[in-house]
Amino acid sequence: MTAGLVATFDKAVAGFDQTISAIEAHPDVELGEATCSRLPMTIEAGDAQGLESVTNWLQNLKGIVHIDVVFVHYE
Amino acid sequence: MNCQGTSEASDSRRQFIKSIAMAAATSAAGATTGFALPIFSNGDPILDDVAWNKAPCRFCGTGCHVQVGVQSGKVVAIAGDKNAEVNKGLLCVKGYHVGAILYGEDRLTKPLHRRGDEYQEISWSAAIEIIADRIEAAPDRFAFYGSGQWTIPEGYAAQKFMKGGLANNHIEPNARLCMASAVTGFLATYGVDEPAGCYDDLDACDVLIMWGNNPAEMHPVLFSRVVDRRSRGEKITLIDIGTRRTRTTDHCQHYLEMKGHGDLAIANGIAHLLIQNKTYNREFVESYCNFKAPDDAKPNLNGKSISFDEFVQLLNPYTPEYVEQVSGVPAQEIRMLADLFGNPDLKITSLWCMGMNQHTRGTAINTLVHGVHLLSGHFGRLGDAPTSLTGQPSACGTVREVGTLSHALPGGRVVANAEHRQQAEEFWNLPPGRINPEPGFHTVQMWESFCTPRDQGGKIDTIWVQVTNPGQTLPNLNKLFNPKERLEDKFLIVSDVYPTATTRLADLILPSAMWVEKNGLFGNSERRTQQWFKMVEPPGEARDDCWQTIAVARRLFERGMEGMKDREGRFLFEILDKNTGNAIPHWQWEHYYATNVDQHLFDEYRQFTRLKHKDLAPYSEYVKARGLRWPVVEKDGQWHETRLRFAEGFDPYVVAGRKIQFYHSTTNDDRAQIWFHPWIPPAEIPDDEYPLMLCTGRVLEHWHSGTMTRRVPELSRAMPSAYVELNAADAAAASVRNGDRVIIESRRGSIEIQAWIEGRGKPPRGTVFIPFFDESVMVNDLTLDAIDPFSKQPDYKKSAVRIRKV
Repeated sequence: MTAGLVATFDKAVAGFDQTISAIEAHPDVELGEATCSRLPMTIEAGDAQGLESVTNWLQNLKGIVHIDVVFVHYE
Repeated sequence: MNCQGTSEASDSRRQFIKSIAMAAATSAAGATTGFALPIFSNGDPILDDVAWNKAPCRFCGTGCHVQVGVQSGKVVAIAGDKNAEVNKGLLCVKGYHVGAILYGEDRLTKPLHRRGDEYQEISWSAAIEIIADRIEAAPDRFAFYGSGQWTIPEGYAAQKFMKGGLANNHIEPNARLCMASAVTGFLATYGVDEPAGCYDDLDACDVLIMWGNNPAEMHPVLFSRVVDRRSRGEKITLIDIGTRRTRTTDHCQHYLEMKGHGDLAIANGIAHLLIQNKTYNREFVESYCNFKAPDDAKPNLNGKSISFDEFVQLLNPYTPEYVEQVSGVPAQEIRMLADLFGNPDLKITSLWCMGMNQHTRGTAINTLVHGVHLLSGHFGRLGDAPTSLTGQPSACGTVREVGTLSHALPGGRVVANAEHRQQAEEFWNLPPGRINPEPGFHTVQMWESFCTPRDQGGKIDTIWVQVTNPGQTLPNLNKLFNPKERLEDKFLIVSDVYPTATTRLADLILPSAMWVEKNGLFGNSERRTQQWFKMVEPPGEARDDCWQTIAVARRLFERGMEGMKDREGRFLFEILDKNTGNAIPHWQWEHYYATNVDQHLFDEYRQFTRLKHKDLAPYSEYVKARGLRWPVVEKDGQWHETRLRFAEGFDPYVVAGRKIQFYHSTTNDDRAQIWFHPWIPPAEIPDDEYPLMLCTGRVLEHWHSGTMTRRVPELSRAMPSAYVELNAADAAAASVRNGDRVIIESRRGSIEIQAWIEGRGKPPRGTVFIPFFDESVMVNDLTLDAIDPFSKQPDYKKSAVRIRKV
């Protein structure tokens, strides 16, 4: 499964180096280019449970207010 | 076989899909609020072998648009629609799983007829005959029960079939249970239903007050619009007034925890201080408002007129200290609210949903919140609006606008008014006098009558349920639904997509098509009408609800039932082929999609919408747009939507120079009504025998009774079953630990359920919360069926219960 997500931070993304590094290190996540407080990314997972688990992990990272999923491909 | 080639192709496809996912996310991340009117573009394919098309989400009343990706006849992908003003490409957890609701393993695919304890598969023609037999035998003892999930054409067809065909007004939607008090609140205040504002207010307000409302979980995309503004550095004050903490509370600067019905006192307390502090907007009030109070001698929705001085007098007891005493909200917080409303430089938006509507004084609290906005002049500018939200995708479009309520006709008309009946008879080409002037049974009456044996006065013998699940969602199920099991002379017909708590007692089950398996139109919470086309075939023999209604009507016509004929003796739903002039046999399933039945019904329905300034555009305009907010009027060859009603510069029906004009005023003077209603306690309050107050509601992961979302594995896993949220002190007093099984009892029933101490909502001492999505734990066995006197809506938020450990 492949999903496109937007993480919304409580202020500009640039102030969250540690969080960004943690996300960059995750093997299933690829980051896009941030726009102020929003950071686009993709997740690739073997199944829906994997997708859900990465999404939950992201949700709990420092500075992230919420995660919106904007695209999901079920294959 | 070239394995490497296959692997490369697969890898390349994977990369391609990934690049699409990133493009969608990047696009959504960069979205701004400055959108032009979105026009659908065919030239935006994002996967080459997938056909994409737009549709509104199937779930709540927000009305997000999704792009639906179809491949080989199956929905394979869902994307937020970046061209949609409502969601700007974003979706909530339910929205991005919406495609999966079509593919639960237990879809109903054949008509089923109960024979003793078993169901027998029967043909559609046999099923139609059975329904026709029931109706023909006793047309006045038949009732139709639908919902705010009916599409607009489905609701319109059911409405015309019942009121225009059978001269029977026993048609109701489940929306009676969720937003009827909002309707009566708007009618009593402005003389016309539905919000004056729209979602743009969320982008413009300085203060957002949520009255018993939890948009972070129930309307998450709307709430993210507000939270997103704060993330961009904008200053916005969020205030949560509620009986329990929610995820919304976590984002708010102020949380005002109140007792049930405390909202009545809080609103009066704000009004009292606005007057005492002389911070009410005198010019606005003197120019555009009157004052009203309940007429206790002759209770009615329009009450009695009172003077400003009488209004002041009635508010006198509502000092901050008295409000604190009855509501539980500290006096300084009441002063804080009054100070905000008293500041003309701020823009204030109020949001509410079930907390104010499921309330035995629902009409009263709705009018009081409108009144606070009117009294303070926080009305008529973007960001200054009292706005109710709806929980279903077309509670507004199908229920409030088409009027699928027992007293209503399309376009804001009512059966009790002779002129309104005459208009409908003209539009429907019916013989004069066909429409019955007596309102039918409202929802609670309808089901009570159905559950009462005929020889004991039960007047409803047959109910046909479409797109809803009353066996789980009616209040006090042991009175209003479960008795059906023992009543041999009652007959329940259920059209649905999955087995439910309602099909459990059905005598005839009809398999329905859902969402993008059929054409449709919805109307969301901000007056936005949205259209989509059928994209995939329904499974097995599942068929459109609208077709089912028309097929039954046709069978009755063929049997000679007069009601199914118009003035010239033609079939009530006749559609002529433009080329041949012959009737298209759309009542036969194989011909149903030979023409766009939705378009025919919608364009007929449009005539009604101009009668009360709720004008809709032609169907073809909705095909191009991601919805349009009514009134939609044509000017210079273009169709224009309306963001704010009653305000000059926005609303085309406001006369130039009037600034604000309430042109459907109940006092016929273009003024809105500011109401006084007293605080009174809830219909049932905890006592020694039942010491806890039960509130019911929803959770983020599930939608309504869970029949769709519980079949999505990811959502079901995230929230597998219902629970009771308990305050830690109450749990300790009952010797209950986290995860214990407990019995919850009310005067009406009992359930066994798992305890979750504090839970998500951290309920205050003396209160418990149970969500209603889980059909294995019927919380509505406990709830009270007391109703608001005007809206007839029950209160699901305040039932007295007790708890004991199993």
